[in-house]
Amino acid sequence: MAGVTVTLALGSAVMVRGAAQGAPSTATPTTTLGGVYTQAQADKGEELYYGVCVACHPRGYYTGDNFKKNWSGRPLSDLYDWVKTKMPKSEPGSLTPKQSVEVMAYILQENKMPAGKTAMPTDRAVLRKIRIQLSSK
Amino acid sequence: MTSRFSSRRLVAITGLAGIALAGGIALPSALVGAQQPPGLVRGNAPGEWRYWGADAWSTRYSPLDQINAANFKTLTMAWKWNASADGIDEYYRTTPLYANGRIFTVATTHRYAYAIDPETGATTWSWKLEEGIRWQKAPRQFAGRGLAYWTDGRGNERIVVVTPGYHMGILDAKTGKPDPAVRNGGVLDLMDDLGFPLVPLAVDDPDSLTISELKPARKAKPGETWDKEKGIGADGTVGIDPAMGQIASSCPPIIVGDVIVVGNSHIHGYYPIRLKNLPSWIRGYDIRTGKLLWKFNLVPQAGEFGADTWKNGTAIGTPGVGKVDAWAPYSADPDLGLVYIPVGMGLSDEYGGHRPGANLFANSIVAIDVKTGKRKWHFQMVHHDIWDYDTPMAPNLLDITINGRTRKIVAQTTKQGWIYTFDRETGEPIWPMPETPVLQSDVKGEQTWPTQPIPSRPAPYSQQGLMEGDLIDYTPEIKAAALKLAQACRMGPYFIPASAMDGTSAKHCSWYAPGASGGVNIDGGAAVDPETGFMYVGGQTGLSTIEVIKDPCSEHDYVQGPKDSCGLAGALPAPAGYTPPNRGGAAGGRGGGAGGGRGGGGRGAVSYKDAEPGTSSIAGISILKPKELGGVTGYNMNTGDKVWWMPNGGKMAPPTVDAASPDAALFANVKLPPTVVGRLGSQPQVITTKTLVIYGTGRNGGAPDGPYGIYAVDKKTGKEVGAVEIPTRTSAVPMTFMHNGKQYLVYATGSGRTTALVALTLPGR
Repeated sequence: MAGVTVTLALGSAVMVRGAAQGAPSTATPTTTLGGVYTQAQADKGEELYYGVCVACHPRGYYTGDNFKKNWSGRPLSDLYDWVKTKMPKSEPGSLTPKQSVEVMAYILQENKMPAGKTAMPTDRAVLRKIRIQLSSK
Repeated sequence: MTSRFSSRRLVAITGLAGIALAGGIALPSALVGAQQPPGLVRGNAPGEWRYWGADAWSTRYSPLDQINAANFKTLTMAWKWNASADGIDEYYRTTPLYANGRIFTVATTHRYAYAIDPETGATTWSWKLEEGIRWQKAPRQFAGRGLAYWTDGRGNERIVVVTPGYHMGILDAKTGKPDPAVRNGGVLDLMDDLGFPLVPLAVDDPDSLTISELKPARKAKPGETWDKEKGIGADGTVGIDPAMGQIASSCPPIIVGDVIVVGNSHIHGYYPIRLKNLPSWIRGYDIRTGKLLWKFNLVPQAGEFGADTWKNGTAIGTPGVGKVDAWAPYSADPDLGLVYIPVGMGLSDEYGGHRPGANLFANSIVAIDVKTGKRKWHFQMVHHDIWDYDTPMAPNLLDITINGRTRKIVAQTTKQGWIYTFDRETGEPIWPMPETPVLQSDVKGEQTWPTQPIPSRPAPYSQQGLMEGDLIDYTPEIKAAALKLAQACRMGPYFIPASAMDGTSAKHCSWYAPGASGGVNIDGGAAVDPETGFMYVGGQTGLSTIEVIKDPCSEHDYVQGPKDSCGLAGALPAPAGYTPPNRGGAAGGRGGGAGGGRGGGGRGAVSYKDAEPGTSSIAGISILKPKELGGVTGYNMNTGDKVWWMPNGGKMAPPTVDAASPDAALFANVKLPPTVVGRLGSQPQVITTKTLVIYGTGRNGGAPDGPYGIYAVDKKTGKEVGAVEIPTRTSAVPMTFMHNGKQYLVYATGSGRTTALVALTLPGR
């Protein structure tokens, strides 16, 4: 029951943020500030992050300056390749494409890039056209 | 000075619900030194769970049998306790206790303590210590493994919890109030008693400490105050000067007689910035007064046994000296008066060039006399560790019969994938562990130890290194392809040293098995059956690579690669002529070359012929032959024989060939043997009862998308005899107890905002 409550609360928060930024565009966003993943992906990604990634990357490791230094301005496909092929260190390549984008969704959300209505795809060609951009707020 | 807190630097809040306040808890002096109450078995009341590992021996064994093979599948949820009500956590890694009719646990990143009604799951009291900067910059900011319980058998009961900010609360188990008979009002500052001055602390950012040593706290400037709006400045808290290093704890102490035995942990060691950190200690405190009884140096100081195993000396502040922290739970034999300490490694995880020598007591099990704090015996399982092989788990104590002779043993599960078994009175190995020559490092400045002790038995539960015989060989072509990939990195039977990524090593990578995660690590470990002498290990296996590189903004000559800390708060300034890594490429390009092991397949159609060094699969098929490793392994410790094996989650299926791979044709007419469904790198969380081995899959085990489960296994055969579907995976070792005639099975689950304890029981009782 607690899990249901939390999910609803997060969903509400995302809706508020979305409303403040105006209606989402139907075109594919060109940056990660345009809502390039769904809340459901981020929720699943959080579970994966704490199940797998946290062994080497404690909470907060992939937020703020550390994330900005490594990933700001790069195409989202770079992050996908990194997660998919090099992580986790103990079993590299073991995340499925679906799991990889779920983890990415969680990381983007932790870095204040909002969720949207369209799920992040696993197609690198699409991801290559999306630039990682951190909010200036 | 403006204080972050109105009047005190520590704010302790005790909440009570549903119970009456207890009376005075001052102890009559006549009780000091009183014997433990009769009827305890290994320090535990039968049917209770008074220690993290059930009892002082860390057996994780319960004599209960109300839940059995016939009814296991009917278990239903009795209650769910929301562990996030007071805040978020990392993943919830706590095993609660049950003692004298109450459940005790910790929760949230603040490690608040709680008592819970076993029938309803209602909170009956809570204790919340607000620690300011000490919490904000704590290196282990999560709920941790749990807490400790003590009673004198005459109505006085205590709960002991060590907070993320490294305070120790000694609480009345009935009320959650700190014991006023203990010095400092029942809350000890564990940074005290170590011989260092405590200084005012300040921060320059509102964030947590980041691995490793990034965004640290600092000593406050004279007159510095707290900026509430920005969340920076000095808040009135004091501690050891952060310039000396970070110290904390994430595991409960263990209480033996009236002595609290407590250690410490540090920040992660794989991306260190500074060449020095605080070392580690084990301390004994009188639970009745809070008096420090003794202190044992895990990094022996000049003149002490073992100091000569550090060629550059051990004085605090010496480059290369630090950590050696005993961060796992401990075990004890109350009758022998010994506590068994599993010890972690020194600085840094994958490079030891700054600390030549064997480095005692790193990577050791140390038996300490609980009355005197003196070392009774020790055994170093890894000399001069450069594999991140901390000793990660409470050792298991057991009495067994070998060749007709009763032996009191202690069995230590490890990241190395071996069980190291000793006579727990003398430290004598039960089975030979010959010092065996091992591969030597070719990384500049590294001085690997020439030998390592290799247990002759029991057999390991995890993949050991990578040899040609480990590779898939379904056809000659497949064998050749696997060998080509394998030979791209340094191979060997075990303890393969890291390769340098800067081109100075013979290879750019080394195979790493078990990897830094073990083996056994935080989540897994073993249960033992004191009636049969069987041991059940929850472990993991796998294959990865290990490389080191120079981080230009770290004091270390090498760290785990790839890594570049330049520009991050707390790192060294960038050296003259520094050029940021090329980030224009895809996955690689950072840190100067190839990264960790690769699964081959992220970018799709790459043949093994063109794969980067470290690629460990062909068309999605691992180059490792499937083996009965990881999962749950049953050992008969009377003989040292491995007797059964069960994959985590219980399911096996043939793997799927990646049809899009250019190498798919290699497997066209090959019938692949079944492999484990789910991650090999996941640790089952095992306990045992009178009739069952019970395990949860852990936070990443079992089928990737569920359903998730808790499983019951026959103790003799390893055959699954029951399973219960649960909404979310277990995240810590479960526990069981009997309360008012009902047996409960309780496990932690979740992370972030979803942490909870869940109680299962049989319907209709």
